[in-house]
Amino acid sequence: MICESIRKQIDEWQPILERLPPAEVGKHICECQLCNQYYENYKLKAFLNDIGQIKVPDGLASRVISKALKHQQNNQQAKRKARYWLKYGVAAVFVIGLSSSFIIRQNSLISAPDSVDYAKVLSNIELQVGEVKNTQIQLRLQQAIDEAMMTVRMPPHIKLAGYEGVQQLNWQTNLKVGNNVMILPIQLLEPNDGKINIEVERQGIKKSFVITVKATAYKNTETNTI
Amino acid sequence: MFEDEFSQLFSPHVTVLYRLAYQWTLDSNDAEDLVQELALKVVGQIEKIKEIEQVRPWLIKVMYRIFVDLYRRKKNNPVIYNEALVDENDTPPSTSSNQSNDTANVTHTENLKSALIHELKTIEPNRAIALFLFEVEGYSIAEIAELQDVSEGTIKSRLFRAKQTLRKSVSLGTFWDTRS
Repeated sequence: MICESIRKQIDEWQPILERLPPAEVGKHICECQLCNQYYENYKLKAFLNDIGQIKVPDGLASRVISKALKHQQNNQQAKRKARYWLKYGVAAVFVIGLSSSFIIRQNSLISAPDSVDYAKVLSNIELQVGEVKNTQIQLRLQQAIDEAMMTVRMPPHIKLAGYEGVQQLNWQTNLKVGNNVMILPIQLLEPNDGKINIEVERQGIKKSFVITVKATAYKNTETNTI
Repeated sequence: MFEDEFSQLFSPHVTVLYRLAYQWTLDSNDAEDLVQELALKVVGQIEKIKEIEQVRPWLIKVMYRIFVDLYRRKKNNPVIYNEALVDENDTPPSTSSNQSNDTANVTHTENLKSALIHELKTIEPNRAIALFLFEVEGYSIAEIAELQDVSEGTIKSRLFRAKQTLRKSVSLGTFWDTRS
């Protein structure tokens, strides 16, 4: 009951920061730890309110907003300039690329994936789970293929190290006459065999090869022809 | 017009944002810089702001992230010692007790206030921010947890620890005359 009345007096004591509450409150607080804590909390809250209620400087909003708008304007100007240079730069590169490819095509034979004789695995692909092996795959060609689209497809339990969550990888390349070697960092995620599909495509004509990844510790040093 | 649109969207919140920024930085210049940084960051996102239902909480959250980044950068700067984050001139004043007149009380209060500001600058900023939001701004534990991206339990712990530390500074030099 006394505590209740004391706390009420604390709550109603407005000049909490300027003066100490009446002596009666002080006397009780010295004896009652809970009321003491209540008073200290109340005082802390009052102090925080006093510190936290700061007056906003004159003209702050307009100052802040005009600076931000100026910054935005500068940004837009810079972007416009960048876009201008990018547009004309790309156009120039496109023109140069088009004319040079025309010149090259006049002198080269357009090749088809049919000219790919075979794909051959040069290093064995027998892996333990988690192991990464740089596997060399050789493509032998009778004719060169410019701008061949290479596609490598893997089952979910096989991945290429460094390509998280990628089950299909595409890239464009020029293949030369004879042997073309690519290296794939193959990693096995589960102790099951799996097949990797390699596809060479040029102007809608495709040629596919399948290579097998074995999930054993058995080491085979022989060349594996597919 | 873009200028008017941005002004209409941002200016109603400047007072609150500045007050919060001051509570977080405890320095009027830093507070203004923080609000300015926020404006620079969101000025390019006016279309996004228009789609947001509750703009103020969103702005506060963005400003909080900016503050955390700035604080980390300041803290991780090898040139500045951590101690330098506290103003050297802002040492806690000695608190006297048995003064009875009003002038003495006001001085005593100012001393306690300075001591509290000093303590607020030395405790972990997330604790001080949580305390201001809870005690001054009336935020709930859940709202602070959402802003600081931590659990409600962590906020309770931050509040408890902040109060524990700061209570000591405000109770310094409080002696009661219990003779009457």
